[in-house]
Amino acid sequence: MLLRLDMASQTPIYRQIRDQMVLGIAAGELAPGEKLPTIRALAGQCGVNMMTVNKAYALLRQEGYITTGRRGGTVVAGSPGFGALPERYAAALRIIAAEARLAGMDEDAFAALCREAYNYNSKGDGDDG
Amino acid sequence: MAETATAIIWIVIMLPCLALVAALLANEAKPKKNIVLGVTLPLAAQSDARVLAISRRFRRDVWLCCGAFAALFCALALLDMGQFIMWSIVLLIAAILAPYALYVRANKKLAALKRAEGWSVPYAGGVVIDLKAAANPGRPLRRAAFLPPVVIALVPLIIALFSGDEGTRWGAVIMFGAMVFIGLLCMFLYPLILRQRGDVAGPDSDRNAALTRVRRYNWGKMLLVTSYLTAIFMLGYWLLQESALWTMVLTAAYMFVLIGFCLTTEFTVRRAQERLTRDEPGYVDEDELWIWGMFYNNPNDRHIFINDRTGSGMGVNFGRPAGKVFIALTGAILVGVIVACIALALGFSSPFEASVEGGTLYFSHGTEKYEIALADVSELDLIYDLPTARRVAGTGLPNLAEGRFAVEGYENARISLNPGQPPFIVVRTPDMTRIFALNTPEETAEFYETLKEALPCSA
Repeated sequence: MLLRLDMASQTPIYRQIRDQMVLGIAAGELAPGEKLPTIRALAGQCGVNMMTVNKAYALLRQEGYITTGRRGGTVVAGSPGFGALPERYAAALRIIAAEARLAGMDEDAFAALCREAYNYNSKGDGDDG
Repeated sequence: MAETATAIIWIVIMLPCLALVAALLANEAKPKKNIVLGVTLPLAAQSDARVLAISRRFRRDVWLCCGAFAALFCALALLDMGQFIMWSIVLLIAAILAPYALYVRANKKLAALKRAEGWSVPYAGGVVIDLKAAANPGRPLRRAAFLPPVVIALVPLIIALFSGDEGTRWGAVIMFGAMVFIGLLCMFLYPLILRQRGDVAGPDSDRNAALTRVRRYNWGKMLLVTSYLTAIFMLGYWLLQESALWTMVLTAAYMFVLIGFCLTTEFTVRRAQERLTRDEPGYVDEDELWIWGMFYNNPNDRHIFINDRTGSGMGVNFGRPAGKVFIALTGAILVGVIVACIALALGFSSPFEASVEGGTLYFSHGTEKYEIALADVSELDLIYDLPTARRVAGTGLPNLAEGRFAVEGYENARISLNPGQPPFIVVRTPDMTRIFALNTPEETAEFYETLKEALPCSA
């Protein structure tokens, strides 16, 4: 999986790393059990501080997307499988829905857009994060 | 005769250097990782007639430039030997830098064409990392592998430092110290490559990992072989240092083998990059981060040293303050070398001047200037045969020997003379020996008499 970081973006680097890894896991580009680079190696490759990568990994670990073992290093855990989104994402989706309504989009069109976004990552062709 | 031979040897060494610079630069016109002359192009665009025309013209111009400098270089041989060597170093630096102006011109043309045609690839304007390739970096060389050549290089240095002769000690510090430094430099440069971003040419992680492996393996090989070759060369130099001919042969052999090996390695990496990305349609575009396709400028990247886009070399990140300082220092050193060469060239043709005033001997020739209180002179002599002398630091040309030399029978000697034009004046003080001559044998003999008369009776 290719990780693309936009250093000039307003989105923090750790967030970009986290988001793209989630997209990669959802798209199947990062398979469960797949080994991830160490914090030092990834920070070296990205040219960012180790703390930045550490923060991204900590977040992913907390969300259940990756696990870190003493011997095996950091690996992809796969889908956490909670069956529901955390409340903060539901809140974010409500804001997007509100913006869609204000933009004049009807409910069917918005539902179609959500369906498309949902299926986008399961096709394995989502590559631009 | 000796001057002609030296000029021929110098030309034989220098002309291939010009050709190598041209060959390396001309090779940039071949697509590697979808990069042509520092511009990332999709596969389809690489065979566009206008792109091919820009590449062709660039290659032709580079070789023409190389030819022009070679002709200029040969014309320089008509100068006096000292001036020829010094000016040829200045010319070599100019010959290395000038073709880069052609590169910048071609890069700008190609970038403008790319913009006009809207050629783009999926990943543009960002830093791209292959996670799978990064997770499997491969096994690096052990740092200890670099230790034996450093230890070997230290042996003659330490032995020479125990010598009673100051000239020998200084010679060892300059020559063998430089070799130890090269060994240490190789040891500390190697890990740099392991901290660099891996190559990413496309979505295929195996291919990206292969590109990274090729670069890292060859970088390590180049540094390891350099340190071992240097240690072997230094041992040979130490054993043969009494023979000027053998040390010259050894030095030439060392240079040819080292440059040949490094170039072979560099082209191996370039060929692998060409081969591995030949059918890659074009995926990653970092052109925005590279000024003229040549200088990496990314303030958000913590790396000071970065991989060159193609080949196995490394460059500096202009976006970091330390990178700017590094470049400024390198530029200052380069300017310093040019200024020093010009100053030396002018100094070579300046006259030898000596005088005695107020009980002090004053001598000057170019940058070599000193004064000796006559009261300190313990011995004064006029010799017609120069004893066997080995250069420690300074100039050793057929018509000018100047600087610190290890001279048989004299300790701690500095000389300044034309070896083919005796007699020579020897002035000894408790600390040092100075051997010099003036512009003509008559002038030297006359000054010797003046000096002899001016000496206090005790001398």
